Amino acid sequence: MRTVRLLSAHLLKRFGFGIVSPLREPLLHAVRVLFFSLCLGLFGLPLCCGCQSIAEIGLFVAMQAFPEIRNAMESPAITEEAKSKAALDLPWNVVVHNDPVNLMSYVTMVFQKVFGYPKEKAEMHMLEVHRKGRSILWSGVRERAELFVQQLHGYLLLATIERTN
Amino acid sequence: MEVFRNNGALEISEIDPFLAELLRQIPESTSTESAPTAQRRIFSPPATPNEKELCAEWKIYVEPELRRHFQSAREVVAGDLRQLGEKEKPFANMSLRIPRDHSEAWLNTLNQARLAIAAKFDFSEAELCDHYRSPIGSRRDLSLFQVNFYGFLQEFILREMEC
Repeated sequence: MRTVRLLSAHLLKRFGFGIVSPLREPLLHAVRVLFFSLCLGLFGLPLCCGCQSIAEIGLFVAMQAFPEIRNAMESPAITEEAKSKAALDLPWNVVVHNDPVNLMSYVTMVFQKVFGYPKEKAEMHMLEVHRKGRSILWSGVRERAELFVQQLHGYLLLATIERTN
Repeated sequence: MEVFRNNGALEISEIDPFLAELLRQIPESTSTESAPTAQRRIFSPPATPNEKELCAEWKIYVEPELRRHFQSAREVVAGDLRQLGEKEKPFANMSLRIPRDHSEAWLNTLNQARLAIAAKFDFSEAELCDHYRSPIGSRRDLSLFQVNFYGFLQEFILREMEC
């Protein structure tokens, strides 16, 4: 009986807080190896975690068993509401359409001013508008896309916002 | 007509009475009243008609702001154009000085005028590229010349802004 009580006390002490030394306490180590082997079989728990505390092991087991807990631990703390809002906000394109009246140099200057693009990039988009009839100048959240379109309309360019597919 | 830079301003000298008259017509040419095509072009929709809510909100909140912005640019240009009315001799050549900080307003107003005229006359791309067409012919030819002349001025102002 005394041996069992001592073993229980050791189990509580060692599994709860301490580090088990397999050389000093071979019995405890044997129990832990048995436990880890069982976990390995059930959840893929690695054997090499012989030095972890019970709390860590419990968390690990829970993470293996419940994907929700694993996701919550592994991903940043973003609420579901924020995620759905971001999903609504993200897919918007700012599109500029061809207009034969606006001068090429003027359109280039507007792209530089509104989007802060270097001249080469602004010219590339201007030529895309000219040749293909439209160019996507920017993609991102809806509010910012609307602001860009408002600025482009202020310069009298034909610009729209579109949802991306 | 000569265009040159003078003390940080764009100066247009030797403007003959015909071109001076075209310049005076800039603010008036931007008008979209009784020209629905021009109105639609200047205040184009921000999205496809499927985005009904967005288009409706745009009309209420953004269009008035754009109108004020365009009006403000026109006022700056109209102020500068008063220089063309100061000559006593009606057929003498004139000069116009555009301060550098008025460049944006000029570019904007010239663009308003070009777009409004092009929409009113429904000029094709081929017509707009025909820079050698004589303005003496019809009202349409004169308007096309006006669009090209204003474009020429825009090019000069843009070059000035880049320097």
